[in-house]
Amino acid sequence: MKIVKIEGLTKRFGDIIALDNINLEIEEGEIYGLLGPNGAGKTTAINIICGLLNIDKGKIYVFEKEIREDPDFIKRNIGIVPQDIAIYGDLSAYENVCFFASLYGLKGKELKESVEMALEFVGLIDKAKEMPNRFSGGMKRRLNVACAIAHKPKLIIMDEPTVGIDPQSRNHILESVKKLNKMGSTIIYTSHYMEEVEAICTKISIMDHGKIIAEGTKEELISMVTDTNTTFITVGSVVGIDEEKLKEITGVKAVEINENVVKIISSRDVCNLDKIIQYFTSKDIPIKNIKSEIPDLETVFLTLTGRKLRD
Amino acid sequence: MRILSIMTKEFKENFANKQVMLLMILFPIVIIAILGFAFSNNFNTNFKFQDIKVVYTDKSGNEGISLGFKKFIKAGKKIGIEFKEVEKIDEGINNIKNGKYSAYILLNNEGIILYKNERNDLEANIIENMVSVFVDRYKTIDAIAKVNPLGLKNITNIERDFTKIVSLDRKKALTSFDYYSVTMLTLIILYGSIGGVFAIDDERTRKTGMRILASPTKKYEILTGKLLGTAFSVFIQSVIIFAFSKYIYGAYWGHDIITVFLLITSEILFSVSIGIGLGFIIKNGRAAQGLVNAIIPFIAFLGGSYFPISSMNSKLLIKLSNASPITWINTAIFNVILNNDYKYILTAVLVNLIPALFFIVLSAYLFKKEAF
Ligand SMILES: Nc1ncnc2c1ncn2[C@@H]1O[C@H](COP(=O)(O)OP(=O)(O)O)[C@@H](O)[C@H]1O
Ligand SMILES: [Mg+2]
Repeated sequence: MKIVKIEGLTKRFGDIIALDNINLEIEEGEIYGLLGPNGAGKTTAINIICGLLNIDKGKIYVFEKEIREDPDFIKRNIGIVPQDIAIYGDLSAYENVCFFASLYGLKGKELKESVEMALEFVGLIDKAKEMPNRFSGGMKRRLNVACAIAHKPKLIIMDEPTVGIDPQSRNHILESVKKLNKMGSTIIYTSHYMEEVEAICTKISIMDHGKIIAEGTKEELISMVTDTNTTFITVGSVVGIDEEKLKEITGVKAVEINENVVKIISSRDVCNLDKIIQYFTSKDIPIKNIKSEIPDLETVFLTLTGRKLRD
Repeated sequence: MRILSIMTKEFKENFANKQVMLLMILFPIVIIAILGFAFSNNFNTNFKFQDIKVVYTDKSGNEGISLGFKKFIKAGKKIGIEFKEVEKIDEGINNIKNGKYSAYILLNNEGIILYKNERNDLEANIIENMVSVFVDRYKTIDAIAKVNPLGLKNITNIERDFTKIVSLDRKKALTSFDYYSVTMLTLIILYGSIGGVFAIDDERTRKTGMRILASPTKKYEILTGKLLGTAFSVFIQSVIIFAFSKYIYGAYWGHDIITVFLLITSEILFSVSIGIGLGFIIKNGRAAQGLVNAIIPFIAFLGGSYFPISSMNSKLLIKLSNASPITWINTAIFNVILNNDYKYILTAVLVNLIPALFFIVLSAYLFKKEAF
């Protein structure tokens, strides 16, 4: 099933074109990443999927229903983790989750159990009775997640859920995303951290200036801009290195020698580092340093836009 | 049931906020004590029966009525009301116009006419109340006299009736604590509008509003839940202030607490709806709060929150005071408490509920157009 399908979506805020003719399809079971710098239009896209913003042009289907056709059904099956922490500082963690879950029609024993499960899931069950006013940034972020999942939504949307938190809480949240996905929810995950998107997403769209500039798996995106890996090998002396012999190693496309650094460009789909190292050791040439330049999403973004993801 | 969820959440949030609680409960309780002590002398002299002065002219030419009226006067004098007979009708009316007397009673062959002082003050109302009882009583007597003149002897015990009414319904004097318990409560309820402002603005600044809107909750459910939740919070605060003033300060709240709370509830709805409306109109909670804080002292002053406006002897101020909704609510409450007089209730409730309705409709319109 296509959980989300967007066709020709355009959204303006006055003169600003926040979304410019977006097309997008998200399959059930995916962890779908929206990667893009601040102002790319990620939050706008998400708010539209959640039915919080009107659109200027286009068609949006969620759970294969047109968004205006049955907004109640769609809303009931979405859980949103907003970009800004959206919790009540004066209500306990438990009361926060309980309130939002109750808006989805949960009550009585089912409500209580769901709330406890959600708090357990984000590791805040020990803090259930405490006020979020006194929580750390990471704990607030985790509560922000708990408030979105107690009603067991089919689609969970997380808008930059790790901004400004400690590495431990970040890892906790990333692990939660994977777990929620395993438990059956489709996830939309936005971020401007390419490491996060690389680490967890099964499919990724790269957004910039309200447009989707590339879409695919991590590998597909990288091979879009390059099909090679580059390895730099620093040696004590380049005397005795036979460029032609190096080129005979499977996958090697080009070799360049610069002072005492050997630059080897290989095909991305071949693993040949062991063979390259073997060549040097067989010639008794000591290796001082090996550096691999494996292209990442940052490279992709840089290649496509000429800018870095984060400036 | 989402309305109930939202109501409960609002209520919990309000009572979790210590600052608001301090303002809404402790502040009026302390002010009642301060003003109560500071002005205790003023009130003991201001509101005694001894201050009620009545002029009258008896041109009824009916012995039965005259006799009954004499007994009426005797009953009034017993509790300290001053009566003076004048010959000329003009003289009587002038005495009211120049404010020397609270009321002028004219008995003529058509019945009883009561002239009241222009200010709607308590003294004239007490007289009006007593006269209307007398009239009712007299009508009965008149009817019986026509049918069975002999039965009259047993019924014309007007004197005793009045003593009963008065001693039952009337406190001897309104103390400063009685006065400020009412006016400080009705004043602090006005500040309940700030609760309404933040019921809307908090969702905006905390971003929780978008979370509610992303759920299947309908906008009317949000609005209703917020209105009722905030109103209920102010109601509970009011009950606490009421109970404290009654049982700790010993303030007099009369016999009909339910009617008093009906009036209070209408004022709560007034305040909270205006607050919610301002929350939508002014998209900045602090600014809306500033506006409310700037306006309330004027409304309160004119409404007699700090001292009775009638004691200022200024016709202009008395006219202006009609523009304050607090004037109406205070007048209605005092008349119920002290005088068992219910005729100001409808006006007071309407003065509160009409603007409340207006602001609720306005809020619904603004909310429909866009999110928080
Ligand atoms: N409510 C709004 N009013 C005006 N402009 C907005 C509004 N929301 C977003 N924008 C603009 O739309 C663009 C996309 O913003 P946003 O969707 O928040 O990007 P992202 O989430 O990727 O950082 C930005 O230029 C932003 O300034
Ligand atoms: Mg964003």
